[in-house]
Amino acid sequence: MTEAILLLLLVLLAIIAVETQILRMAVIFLGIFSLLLSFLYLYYGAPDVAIAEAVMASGLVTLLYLTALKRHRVYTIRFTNEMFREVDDRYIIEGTRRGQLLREIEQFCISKELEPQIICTPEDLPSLLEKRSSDLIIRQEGEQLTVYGNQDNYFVDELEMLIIMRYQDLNCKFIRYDEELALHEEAS
Amino acid sequence: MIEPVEKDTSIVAVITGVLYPFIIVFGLYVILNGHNTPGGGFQGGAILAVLFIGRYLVFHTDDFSIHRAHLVEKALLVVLILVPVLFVFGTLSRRYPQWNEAYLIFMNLLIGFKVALGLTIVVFRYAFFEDR
Repeated sequence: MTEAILLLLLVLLAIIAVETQILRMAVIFLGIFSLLLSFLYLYYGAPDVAIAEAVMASGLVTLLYLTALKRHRVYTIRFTNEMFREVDDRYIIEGTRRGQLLREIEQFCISKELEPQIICTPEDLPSLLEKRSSDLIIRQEGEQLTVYGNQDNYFVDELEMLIIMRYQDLNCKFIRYDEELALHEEAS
Repeated sequence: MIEPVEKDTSIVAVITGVLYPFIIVFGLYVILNGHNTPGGGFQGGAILAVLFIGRYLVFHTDDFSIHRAHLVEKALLVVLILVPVLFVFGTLSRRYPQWNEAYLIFMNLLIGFKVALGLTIVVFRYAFFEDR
């Protein structure tokens, strides 16, 4: 009975890990999968293999995957405001059309297997550009919405197409910036 | 004193500090009893490797000398080849059969330290490769 439950859980976890939309959750499910597998090895009387599986697959491999995700796959979006010291999460949620823009960018990131990370920052634009840590900066000045895309990122072209095609009614501008902080302005 | 990268990692830092002696003792236990209980050099070494990796999780610093670790690992590999050649293929193991257990424990220790250093090198190389 225990064996059947464990084996079914293994299959279930494997399917969840494959089907999950967010990569980080898939990695965590894979870690749980390995832990259950190591318990199953113990159940079958192979403690030696169980220890190796628990340490390697559940510990180190999960850590390696998470490090890899952190290095290359997190897409940082910073949201800043005219009155940048008073920026608040409510700005995004209340403005429905603007919220839709953010949601659409989020969907885009998920379809490209990126991990979207949206930050409402109290810093102003020049210091954000200086740091170069964000892939996309969205700045709102009253009705004007300006999107700054980091040229180092591979997905900048597709995102620009998406924003310009979809949001013509919104007062929206897409600007790229590169290593030397030169801004490449293009028609909205 | 090295500052943590993010201010809210103090929970991880404290828990890692508390777990440190237990990780050392458990890793050495698994290595030293590997010849007659489950475990052994590889498993114990992997547990010991968590020492350095946990340190990486708390402080993202690369002051750990990967080059020196590499040298020590290579030296351990040479010893790992030399000891069986001298003990098993020489006549020592037949002349002194009471040394067999000590030999097994010593080999497990060597393998454990080599695996610990190797996994640490792998993780550090991976983590600090192409660091932005």
